Amino acid sequence: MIGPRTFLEYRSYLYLKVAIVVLFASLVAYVLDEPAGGRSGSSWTGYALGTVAAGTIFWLMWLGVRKRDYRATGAPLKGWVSAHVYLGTALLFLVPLHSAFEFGMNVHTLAYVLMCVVIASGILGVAFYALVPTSMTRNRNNITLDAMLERIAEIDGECRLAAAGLPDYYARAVVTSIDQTRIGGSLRAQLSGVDADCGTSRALKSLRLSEIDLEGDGKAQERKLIELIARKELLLKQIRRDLRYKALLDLWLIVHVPFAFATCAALLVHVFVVFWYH
Amino acid sequence: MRVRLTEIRLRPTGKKVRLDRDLELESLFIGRGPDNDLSLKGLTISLHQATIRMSEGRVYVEAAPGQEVNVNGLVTQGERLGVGDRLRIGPWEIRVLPPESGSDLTLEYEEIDRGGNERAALDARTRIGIESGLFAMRPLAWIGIATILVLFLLLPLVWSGSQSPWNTGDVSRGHATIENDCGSCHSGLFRPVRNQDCMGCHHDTGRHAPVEIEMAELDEASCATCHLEHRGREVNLADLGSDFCSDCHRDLSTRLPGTELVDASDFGDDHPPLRFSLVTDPTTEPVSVDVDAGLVENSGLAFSHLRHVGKAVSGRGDAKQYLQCGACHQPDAGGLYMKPIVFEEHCEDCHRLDFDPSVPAGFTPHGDPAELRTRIRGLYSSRVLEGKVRDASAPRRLRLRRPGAEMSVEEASLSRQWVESKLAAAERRFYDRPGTCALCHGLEEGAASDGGMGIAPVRLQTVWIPGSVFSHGAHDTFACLKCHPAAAVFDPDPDADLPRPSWSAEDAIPYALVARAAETVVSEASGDVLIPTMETCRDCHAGANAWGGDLVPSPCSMCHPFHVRALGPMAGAADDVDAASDASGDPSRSDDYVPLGDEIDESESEEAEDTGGSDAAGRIGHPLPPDHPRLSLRSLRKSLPQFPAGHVESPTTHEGSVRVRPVDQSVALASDLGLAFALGAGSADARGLGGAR
Repeated sequence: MIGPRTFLEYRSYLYLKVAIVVLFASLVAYVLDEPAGGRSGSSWTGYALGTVAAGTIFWLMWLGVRKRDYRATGAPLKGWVSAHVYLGTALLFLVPLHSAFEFGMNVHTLAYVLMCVVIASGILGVAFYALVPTSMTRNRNNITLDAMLERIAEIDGECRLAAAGLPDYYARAVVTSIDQTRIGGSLRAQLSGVDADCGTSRALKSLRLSEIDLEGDGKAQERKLIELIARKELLLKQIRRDLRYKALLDLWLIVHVPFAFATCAALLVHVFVVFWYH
Repeated sequence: MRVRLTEIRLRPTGKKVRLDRDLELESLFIGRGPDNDLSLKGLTISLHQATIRMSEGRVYVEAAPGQEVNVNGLVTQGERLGVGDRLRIGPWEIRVLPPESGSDLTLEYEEIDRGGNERAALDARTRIGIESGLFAMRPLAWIGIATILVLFLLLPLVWSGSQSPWNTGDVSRGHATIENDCGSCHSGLFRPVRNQDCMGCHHDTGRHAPVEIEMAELDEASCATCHLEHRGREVNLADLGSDFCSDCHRDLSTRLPGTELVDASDFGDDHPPLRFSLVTDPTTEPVSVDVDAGLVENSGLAFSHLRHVGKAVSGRGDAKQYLQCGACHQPDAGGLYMKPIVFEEHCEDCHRLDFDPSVPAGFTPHGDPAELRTRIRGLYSSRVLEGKVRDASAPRRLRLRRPGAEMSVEEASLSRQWVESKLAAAERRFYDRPGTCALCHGLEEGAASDGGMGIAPVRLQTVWIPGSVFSHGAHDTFACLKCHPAAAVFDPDPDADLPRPSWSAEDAIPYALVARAAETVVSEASGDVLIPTMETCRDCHAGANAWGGDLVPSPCSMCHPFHVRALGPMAGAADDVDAASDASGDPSRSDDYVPLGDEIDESESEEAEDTGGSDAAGRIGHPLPPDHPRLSLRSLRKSLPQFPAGHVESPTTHEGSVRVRPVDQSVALASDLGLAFALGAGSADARGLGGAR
C-alpha cells in the first residue's frame, strides 16, 4: 500500500509545483488574452487550455494501466500517483479557465460536473488513505482478517464441544451464534461497521440471562461457553470495524473509476460537438 | 530450566510420530514467529503469543502483552501450570506431561485439526468487499459510458429534437426564436458558421470600410470572428470590448498609409478633436471643420438666439410665456436628432406672413416668392371679378363693380394696375428691411422660379457629427444648457408674472459649465455655433476602461457604428472570394442589397410620416418629383444596426424654403452615417461631401 505521505511528498512536492506552474501559466494566458467577442472556450486560448485539459485527463486515465504493469520502467508508481493527484486536482481550475467560466445545462458542463465528481472522490480517497490505514492497523492488532475469521471458526468449533453436554437451551444459543452470524454483506452493512442483529450478540445475551441452575462440571462448561461467545463477539466487532475500513478504502474508488470513464465519454461528445458546430 | 518438547506429528499416511527435542533456557517463548523457542504455525496465533517460565520450582504461563492464552478452556492472561493442564494456542494444543529424562518441564504439543468445517460454514455466511453484481467498477464504468454516448451523442445524431444538450449556452435574445434549429446557422458538419449563414437574415449589414481598402484584419474576419454566440440570453453580440476598435485605429495611419482618418484609441485620452459638418455656404455642401478652427456657420438665414431665448412672448392665441429651447428644438420620434426647424411649426406663431388685414391669416405660403406672387395676383383679381373690392384706395369703378358684370378694356387695365399696386405693396412689406421675408432671409433678384425677386439659398444642418451617432434622447435628463451653454440668456420680463424657465435656475448649470460659459460670447450672431466641444462630453464620458469612477466608461461603439450599410454589404462569405468581391464591388448589382434611397414606394413614405418621421420635403409643401431619390424611414433604420429600431430617424440635412438637395441622397447618407473612410482610391463621392471626415 502506498501511504499518502510517500506520494504527496514525492520528490519535494515536484508535481504540486508542476500543477501550480501550469495553473499560473493558464491564468496568465487567460487574463492576457482578450479576444474579440470576449473570452470563451472557442478563443485560441480556450482551445489551448482545452487541449491541455483533455490531454491531462487521458494521461490521468493511463494510471489504471500503469499500476497494473509491474514490469514498467521509468518513474516509480508513487511518482505517477503523485502527478495523478496534483495534476488531477489542477483540472478543477484549469477547465473553468478553458470555458471562460461559462456553464449551462448541457453535455459540456456535464463533462465538467462528472470530472468534479471524479476529483472529489479522488480527494476523498487520498484523505481515506491518510487516515484509515492507521486505524485499520491499530484495529487489526497484528492479526490478519483471515486469522480473525479462522479464530471465529475455531471458537465455533469449541462452542460446539463446550455445549455438547449442556441442556438444549445452550445448544440453541450456540446454533444461533454460529448460524445467524453474518460477516460483511451489503455495502451499507459493511460501511456501518456494526450489526445490530448479530446472532452472536443475541446468543450471548440469552446465555447471560439464562436462569438454568447448573451444577459442577456443567457450571464450568457454561462459564467456558459464555467466555467463548463473548470472545467471539469481540472478534466480530473487530472484524466489522476492519471491513468498514476496507469498504471506505474501496468505496471512493468505485465512484472514482466509473465516473472517470463517464467523464471521458462526455469529453468525447463535447469535443465532437464543438468541432461539429463551431 | 531444561525443557523437553515433544511434537506429535501426523504423517500423510495417517500415522502419528513423536519428535523430541531438549532445550535449556530461561523462558520458553511461544508464538507464530520463527524466533520463538516453540514456533507454531497458525494464522490465529500472534507472532509472540505466550511465555512459559519457571519460578521457584513452579511453572507459569503468561500471555504476551495484548494477547491471551486458553488454559483448560478458559481464556486468561496468565496461569500456573501443572501436570495434565492443556494450553490451547490456535489450532495447537500443548499438554503438560510429568517431567522425564532429567528435564524440569516436559511439554507435548499437537495440531488438533478442528474447526475446518466451521471455517467453510463461516465463509458461506461472509461477504467481504463492496462490489456486487452491477455495483462494481467495470459494470458501472460501462453503464456510464453507454449512458452518455447514447443520450448525448447517438440520440441527438438521429433525432434533432434532442440536441439541446449540445447547446453550449443560450443564444442572444435576438436569435432565441431559432435557438433550437441548429441548422439555421450551422449549415454543415465540421464547417464553421459562415457569413452567408448569417446573411440569410442580415443581408444588409454594411461593410466596415470601402471595398478598396485591403486589410487582413477585415478581409479574413467573418461574422463569427467577432460575434460569438451561445454566451447567454442577455449578452450583447455587438459588445466586443474596449480594445476591439483600438487594435487597428490606434495606429491606423501606419497600418493603412494614406488614410485620412486620425489615429484614436480611447475616448478618454486618445481621441482627435471633434470635427463638425458645417454649412459655410448655403449653396454648397457642408464642409468638415475642426472645432479648434472656430465654427462660423452661414446657413443663409439671419437668426439671433439672444433675441429669442428667454423672451416673454405670446404666440397665436396662446398666453404669454418665456421662449425656451424646446419651443423650436424638439427631438424627433427616435430621440436621436432634433426635428428640422420648420417655419410653419416653429416660427410662424410669432412671425406672421400677413400683408393685408383684409386677407385671412395663413393665406401666405412660406416658400417660393413666385408662387406667392401668383397667389396674391389671383387673390386681388378674384376680388375684382367678384365685385368684392372694399379697399378705399382702389379706383371707384372697381369698388362699384357688380359681380359677374362684363369687364371693359378700361376696367381690365384699371384692375391690372390695382392688383399690381397691391402686389407691390405686399412685396415691399415682404422685402424691405426689416420686411417679413428679409427679416430672416437674404433676397436675390431673379432667384425665384418666375425670374423675379427670390429668396437666397438656405441650408440648415441637423446632423453635425456625421461620423458618429449622438442621441439627444439618451441625454434627455440633462438641461439643454449643460451642453449648449452659449445660449444661456434669460431676460426677465418685468411686466410678465411668469414662472422662470427651468433652465434659468442657477443649479441647472454645473459650475464648470458656467465658468466655461462665461468665456463664451452669448450668442447674438447668426453664425454662432452653439455646439459643445469634446471637453463637454468628457465631463461625463471617460475612456472605455474607466470603470469604477464617476464617469461613464465609453467604448468607441457608443458613438461609432461598426457596420456602415452605405459602404455596401458585408462579403457574403469569407471562403467565397468571388461572390464577396462581386457583392461589394458594386453594391447596386447585388441581388440582396438595396442602396439607401432606392426603397421608394408610397407606402413607405406614408409610414415615415405616420411614425413621426421627418419627411422634410413634405413639410415645406413641395411634393418631390416621383423619380427623386428619397430616404425612407425603414432604410434609414436599417443603416444603423447597432441601435434599436425606431432610434434613428432624421434625415441628414434639412433645407429651408429653398431646396438644395444632393443629387444622390444615398451617397450623402454614406458620408453622414458612415465611419468616414474617405480614402484616396475610389471614394470620390464620399470625399466630395466633406462632412464625412
